[in-house]
Amino acid sequence: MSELIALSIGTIFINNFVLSQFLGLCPFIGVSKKLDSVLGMGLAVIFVMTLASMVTYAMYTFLLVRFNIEYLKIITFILVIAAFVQFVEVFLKKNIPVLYNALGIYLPLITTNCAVLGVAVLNIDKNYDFISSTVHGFMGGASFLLALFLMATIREKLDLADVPKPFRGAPIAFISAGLMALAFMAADKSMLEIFNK
Amino acid sequence: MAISFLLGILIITILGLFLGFGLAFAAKIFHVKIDENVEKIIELLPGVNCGGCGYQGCAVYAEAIVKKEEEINLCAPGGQKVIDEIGSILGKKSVGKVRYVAKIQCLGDDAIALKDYKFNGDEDCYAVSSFFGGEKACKYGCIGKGNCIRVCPVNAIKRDKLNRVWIDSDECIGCERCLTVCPTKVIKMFPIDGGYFVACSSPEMGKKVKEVCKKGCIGCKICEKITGDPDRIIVVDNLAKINYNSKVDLRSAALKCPADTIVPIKNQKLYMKNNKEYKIEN
Repeated sequence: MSELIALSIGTIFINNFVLSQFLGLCPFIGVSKKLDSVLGMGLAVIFVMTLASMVTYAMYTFLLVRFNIEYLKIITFILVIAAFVQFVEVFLKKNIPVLYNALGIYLPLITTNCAVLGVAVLNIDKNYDFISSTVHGFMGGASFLLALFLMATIREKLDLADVPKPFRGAPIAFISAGLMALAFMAADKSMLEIFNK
Repeated sequence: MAISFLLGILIITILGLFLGFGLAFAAKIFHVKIDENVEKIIELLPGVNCGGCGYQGCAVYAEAIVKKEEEINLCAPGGQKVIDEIGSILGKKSVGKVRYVAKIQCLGDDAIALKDYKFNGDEDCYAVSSFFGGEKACKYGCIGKGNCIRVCPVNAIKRDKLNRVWIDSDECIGCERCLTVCPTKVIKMFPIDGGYFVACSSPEMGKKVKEVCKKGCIGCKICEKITGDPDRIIVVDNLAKINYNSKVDLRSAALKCPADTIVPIKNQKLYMKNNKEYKIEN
């Protein structure tokens, strides 16, 4: 249990998917313009990443390892995740329209999100078991939500600020994202020092 | 080696076929009919996604019209034309609500409004207003750093040479976004056919207003006397207030106003150009 808690905190703050591992930057810049859309997008990412970790873990252990074709994991994962997200979308549309209205427009965006593929590959690289993979996937989504929320609040303020013309829009967003990544790196080191004592 | 290679190709192919047919099958099972009318109405709506109707965007509003039987006259940017077109699809008729436009209730610019100090920081109204309530000696008026200009989706808010900020009612779509970013709340909504609005927000006594701004309402009650209708215009707290339920013409009052603060809602553009005092100072 304590391992899972450590994994959760580590995934959100130290190995933050966006700000430390630089995965999923396109939706991070694209959806962070307004605070309203952040919650929907973040929840959709949590949802997809958790389920994708489960599905790809099962796919890897029961299919790829069995037939000795582990080297095909990336292409298999892309295939499985894309098909899986599409399936979830049509399923939600018919059966849970409330959830579809909240997440619907963001689900197709996530199909090819590198954070989702990243969590699947990382689970395999780090030899996580099924439960650890699921927790890693869920907390990875949560770390994305945290980064997206912080970024959206900053960008809403940036809209009102007098930014030099060449920097307006995406450039200033990337600069702020870089500064935020630096801040997260500081959290990483100081945390390590506490644990070493 | 060769066998493992072929096995890999085979398994990926089978997997792809399986997932492809699976998805096609799922799409059949979970098929949801989309109403044709919703798509037609989405086409008709202006697509500005301003949120003036109370829904998140044009598409959501279109769905609400068809499914929840929402009123069809809520779209301010579309106007009567869009209402008629939607009505012809659904067989309904409706008259557009009175269009409301935003107006800045302040005329103080660099030339006529006294300043307490010069602010050299960010171009942000909230930043300036946090220092003694703004640069201008009058703390009720427009800060003038243009937060509203930057959030306006249709660029209806202009700034002239002397940093007076004003809103063109021809271009304003009534989305009320500028109201939320103004620290002094000097922007208010007015009905477009209401005639005139009072372009001053200071409740101070006349003498104090005159000390800090040449174009402030001093509460002299001339407009009240000329119009002769206390239901139309009345001076409360040293500030003239116009009642928009009454339709009495305010032209004579606007011409006689000593501070020239009763401004036409529709043609503020002309008012800004014809202002003699303005021409001389430019």
